[in-house]
Amino acid sequence: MGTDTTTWSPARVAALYDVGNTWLHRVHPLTKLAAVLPLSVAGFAGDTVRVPAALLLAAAMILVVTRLGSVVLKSLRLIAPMTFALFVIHGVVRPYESEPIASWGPISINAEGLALAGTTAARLAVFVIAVTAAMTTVHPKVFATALIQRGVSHKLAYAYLAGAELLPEMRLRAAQILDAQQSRGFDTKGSLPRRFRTLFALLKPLLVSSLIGVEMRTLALESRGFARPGRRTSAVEVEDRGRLLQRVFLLAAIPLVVLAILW
Amino acid sequence: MVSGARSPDSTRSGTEAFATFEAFGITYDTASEPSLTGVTLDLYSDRLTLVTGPSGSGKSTLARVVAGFVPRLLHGTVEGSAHVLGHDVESAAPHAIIESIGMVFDNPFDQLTAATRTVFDEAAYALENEGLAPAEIISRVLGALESVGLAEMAGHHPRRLSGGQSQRLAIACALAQQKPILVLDDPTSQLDPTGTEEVVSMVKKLRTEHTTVVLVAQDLSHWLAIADRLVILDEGRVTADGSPASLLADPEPLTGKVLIPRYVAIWAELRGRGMELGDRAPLGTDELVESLRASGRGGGSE
Repeated sequence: MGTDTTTWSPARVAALYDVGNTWLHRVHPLTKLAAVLPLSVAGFAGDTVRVPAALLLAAAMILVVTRLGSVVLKSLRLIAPMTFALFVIHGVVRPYESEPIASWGPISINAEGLALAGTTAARLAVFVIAVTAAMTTVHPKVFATALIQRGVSHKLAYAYLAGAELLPEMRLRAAQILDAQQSRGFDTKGSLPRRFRTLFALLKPLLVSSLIGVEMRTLALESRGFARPGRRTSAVEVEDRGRLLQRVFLLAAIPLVVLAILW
Repeated sequence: MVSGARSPDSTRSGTEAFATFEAFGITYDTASEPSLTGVTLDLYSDRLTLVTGPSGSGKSTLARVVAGFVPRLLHGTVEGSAHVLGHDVESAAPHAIIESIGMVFDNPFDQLTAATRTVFDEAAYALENEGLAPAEIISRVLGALESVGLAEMAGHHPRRLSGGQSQRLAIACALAQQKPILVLDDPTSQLDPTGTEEVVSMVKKLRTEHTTVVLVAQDLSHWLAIADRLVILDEGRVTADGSPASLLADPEPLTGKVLIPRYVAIWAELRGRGMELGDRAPLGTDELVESLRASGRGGGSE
């Protein structure tokens, strides 16, 4: 295991701000956040693949226009294992009353199951693309500032920012511990039992060093006024706009949620 | 050498004590033995006070009391009393002391907020919590980063900084907050030689600007030349307190408690062998060379 922190990971998605100045970048961060809700729910408001497919088509056009396709599509790796499992479970394993489209001994592929798996995967993809497109086009600092401006606790904003940063840091720390263990002759590769042994050998120093780090970070944060009462400001000025559109998106989500539940 | 008595600080010249300890002791809630006991000490403004001692001697605890973390955030049973900037450390409002004193820890990375993506944001974090206007924040942060030589890295991710640069960033955070007193807890202990040199130069610069510094260090070699005063702790007690040159003039009793710098050890050895090197211990290699030259036996021929 190396110490490269640039490798893609879920945490990096949260921190994956893509510098740019497209129209999507210029949309107020909370407008993008508000839009994620109805877009995600809309995919579930119907029992066919048509709605999520239409949304995916629209998303693809937006991503092409904004040239964010490659960045955002990387996030789909997140749901790749789940998508594969959906197709296996619904398309192959699960029994259906309709005739299979192909059979090999006990294995049969069912069109109904494939359609269900495809619909579910498309819904998940819409959600992941919407979230990633929103997060990729807003600097985390700007997003946190916008949240604080609207009255969200600065501690919650910190949790968001730290969440995006701490996981890569933990990975780096784990990599350093493993490197240190390997340099002392500890074999971290090989059979499953050996890998489990590696995991346990890693956990204790990782936990201890993280706890020590947490204490120091807590004191450092106190020193920088984290718990200080009173109003917060930001070096980054975020224009407070888009309130009407944000309300529209949030209101639009209500009937869509109802539809998704009823369907 | 003093034990448990009021500091004789001979370097003091008309400055006020910003911290006063009276038979102060603290036993952390998580420990059975006291980390500090019977400490009676005054710390003065416009001075660099160097605190040293073996591992577990209470150096970091003393630093954390001065910084306001103990016992308000790191709880424990207190004996005696300690006042920092006029506040009783036991009963002061939670942030009365903390917000007035800058603290730099030994680990260069764990003391970063972990919630910022640029060096600029890191230095601005405290000022945003103070609710300052954006223009004021930008002005102060750029000034502080300039002061520690990190202005050109303002847009870099804090994780991309080296250990020395991270420590300088931590100092910049305190400078941006315009804190009048800095407490540095072994700031070079986890740094490579380059990082150590960066931090030492930074602290030297702060001294020329008359910043009050309390510096905890196990390795004294870099700091003696700029220290006004040396306080030695052992098993939670102050065992010696005075000017570095006078305390190290007889390094023998300090062996095992203090990491004696090589230039002091060489000076003491040569003096023990009968060389006339004066009574004042050198506070750096340059001073040792000067002593040797003055004795008429240095200068490279022997």
